[in-house]
Amino acid sequence: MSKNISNLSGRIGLKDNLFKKMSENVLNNSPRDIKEIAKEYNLGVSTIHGAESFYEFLRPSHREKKAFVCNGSACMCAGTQDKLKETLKSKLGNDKVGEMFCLGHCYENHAFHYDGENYAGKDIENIDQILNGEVIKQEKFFSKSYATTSFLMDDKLSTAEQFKEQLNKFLKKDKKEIVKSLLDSNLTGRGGAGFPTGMKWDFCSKAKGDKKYVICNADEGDSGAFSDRYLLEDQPLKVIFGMVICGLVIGSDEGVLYIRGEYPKSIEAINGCINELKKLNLLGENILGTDFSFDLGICIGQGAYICGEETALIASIEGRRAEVDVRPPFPVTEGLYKKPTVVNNVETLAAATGILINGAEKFSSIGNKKSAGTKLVCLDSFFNNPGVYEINMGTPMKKIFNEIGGGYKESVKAFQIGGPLGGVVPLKEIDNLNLDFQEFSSKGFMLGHASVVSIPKDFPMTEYIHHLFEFSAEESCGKCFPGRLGSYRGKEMFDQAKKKTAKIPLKLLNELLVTMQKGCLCALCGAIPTPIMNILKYFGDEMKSDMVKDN
Amino acid sequence: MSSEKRKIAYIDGKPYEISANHTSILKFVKSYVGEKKVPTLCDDPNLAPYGACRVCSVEVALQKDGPTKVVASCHTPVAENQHIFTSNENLQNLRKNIVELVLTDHPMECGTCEVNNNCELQDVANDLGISDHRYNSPKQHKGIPKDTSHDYMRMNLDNCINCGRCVRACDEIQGSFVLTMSGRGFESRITTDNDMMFGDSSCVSCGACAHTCPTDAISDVFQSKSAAVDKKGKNYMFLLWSWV
Repeated sequence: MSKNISNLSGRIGLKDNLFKKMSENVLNNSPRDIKEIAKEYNLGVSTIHGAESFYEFLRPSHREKKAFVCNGSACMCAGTQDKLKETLKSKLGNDKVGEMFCLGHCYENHAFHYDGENYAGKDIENIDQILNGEVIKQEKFFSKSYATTSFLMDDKLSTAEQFKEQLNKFLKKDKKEIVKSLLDSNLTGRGGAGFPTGMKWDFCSKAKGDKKYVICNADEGDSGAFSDRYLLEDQPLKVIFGMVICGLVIGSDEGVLYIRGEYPKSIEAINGCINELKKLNLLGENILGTDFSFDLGICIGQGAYICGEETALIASIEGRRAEVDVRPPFPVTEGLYKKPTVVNNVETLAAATGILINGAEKFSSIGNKKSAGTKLVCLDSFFNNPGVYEINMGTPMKKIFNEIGGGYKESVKAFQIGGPLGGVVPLKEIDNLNLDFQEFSSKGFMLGHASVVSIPKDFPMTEYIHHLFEFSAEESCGKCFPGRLGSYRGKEMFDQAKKKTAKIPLKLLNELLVTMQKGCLCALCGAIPTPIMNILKYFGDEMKSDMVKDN
Repeated sequence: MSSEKRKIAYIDGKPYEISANHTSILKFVKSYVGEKKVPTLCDDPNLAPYGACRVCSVEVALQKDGPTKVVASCHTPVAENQHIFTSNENLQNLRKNIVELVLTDHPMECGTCEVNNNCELQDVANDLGISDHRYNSPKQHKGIPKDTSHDYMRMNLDNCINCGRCVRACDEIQGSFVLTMSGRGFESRITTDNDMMFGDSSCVSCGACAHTCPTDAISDVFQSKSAAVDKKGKNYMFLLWSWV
């Protein structure tokens, strides 16, 4: 963590942030010498170079390619990507097709990225039109609320007029009352860590600082999840409203949405909303004639899963390498540019909005104290009804899968729930689980984002573990030793098993997993052992022939 | 005299007083039970806590006989009534496994290495009783050409363990931004400026990087980190550095 870089980058600040400047420069057809940028920010050439080289999309090897096939877990399990890759290669050339991790089309697969747009499902049938630059008709995800009260999917905040009406109401409210509402609702962060949202806002409102920031973490990289994408594209005003109210409560006049570059439509939707709200003075200086000002911008992620971790996300915006920082200090006291900052996930902000509009009691009355309210659940293409659903916390998983999801199209043996770091739950265990954060954790799984990737019966688990290690090796920031080295050595073990050049030494593997779990700095390489240990526990027999006993 | 109540935390069962300069568990432990009780690799007391190597992990309970949690001692604050355990079988295994991983990407040529017997990695590995690794044909970064382009400094990245101390010293001590980590994950490595040769870079030859480097990855033409070099000369060099 470099205080010097944070402070120097902070002198110029968020509007002209270094990350945006350096990524736009790399992606420009005639980039400036990075020495000039370094000089503007009073930083070293090495600072810019070190940060640039961190991101997949900014690397020459990536920029040379034209199309990118999704290599997320859901598309992999669906087995649609090999053929897709071949088709694209035949059209564009063998060296012109790369990969991207999860484009959020887990409900239809066949996902790929071309020329700034994502395509999936049957879109590949229109490849010639796509390559000609024609706009093709695309199918949307299915979404529906099954909740007692919908906080996230209703249409109470779908027009600028409604936004204005609600904002008028809350600008007059006592800030303490707003925090109390959130505390009473028992809303916990939906990004994975599960910290009480009301407490976070309260801490930050009390933190001393001449400047404060609100960050929306829209770097949804978890394979299987497209719930944030749903909110950004279909409920953008709910997300933005949550940020504005957070700004009001903590005393911040500036916020940013860090949206992953893999989601071009989300960026477009949010951008459109921000522009509209600015025109109507619902964002910007002296909102609706009050002394409250709040401006909002977007940072576009450049292909790094780790930026979903809050300290890495902050580092990224500042133009530092997106490595995970030690805590304390926590962002609420020392966040972006070392100023007090609230970092909230997309769904958390939208839920906060829903709670403020509908009342805390309605939210807290669903589920239990630690898993309260409603949650978006994403079901992939193996379900008869794939889509994103708003569901009461506490609902039996069996009901979600069989009734809401309509059962499975083909035989599945397990589900990875909660993204690549979430647990792998065998089919038979689904009957014993409810949609509840604590319940999942106590059984050795992790609900996380509540995204569901189905693993079909004939999919080899050795290959699934390989996929997980490959993912963490690829996405590890490289800072902590067990994360950088452990994920890579794990990948190598399964590379060798896949190629049949060596068997997996079981004892060493177990030691490696414990080392990563106990030793890593953050939840990327620290939690990847969770699904792997689940697989070894429940599907060890299946993998026996790939294993060898070592001492 | 402070009127504040004395605050106590426990190291391996014994009570010690927490003072204002105990900004981390590591500093607390080191001040009472010695430098070597908890191994470190990425830590340098002159630099901000970084939390990369994780070999300084300890177990902490919030009350006597309470459940313990593994934390990196270098960036975890010490708090009243904490029970800190510096060593047990689990911790030793964790440290051994981490150092073993480090050795999977290290040349292991101590005998011919300039800093033989004056190397933090060697010390930590020896103390833990680790001299080899069990991984099958691990990919290594071996064979990176030595950078001898600089008038004073030497860079030999085969020996680098990616602790980031040089980068942080360059930034935090010298206020220069010459060194950086580049790339990501397993492929991340130390470089100067925009991948320049050391001698062509904007380096001001302060020597802070070589001074903090725990191995032979960055050293100098005076071989001042060599255990074989006359101690007097070595001290003289460090004195010179502090003047620059």
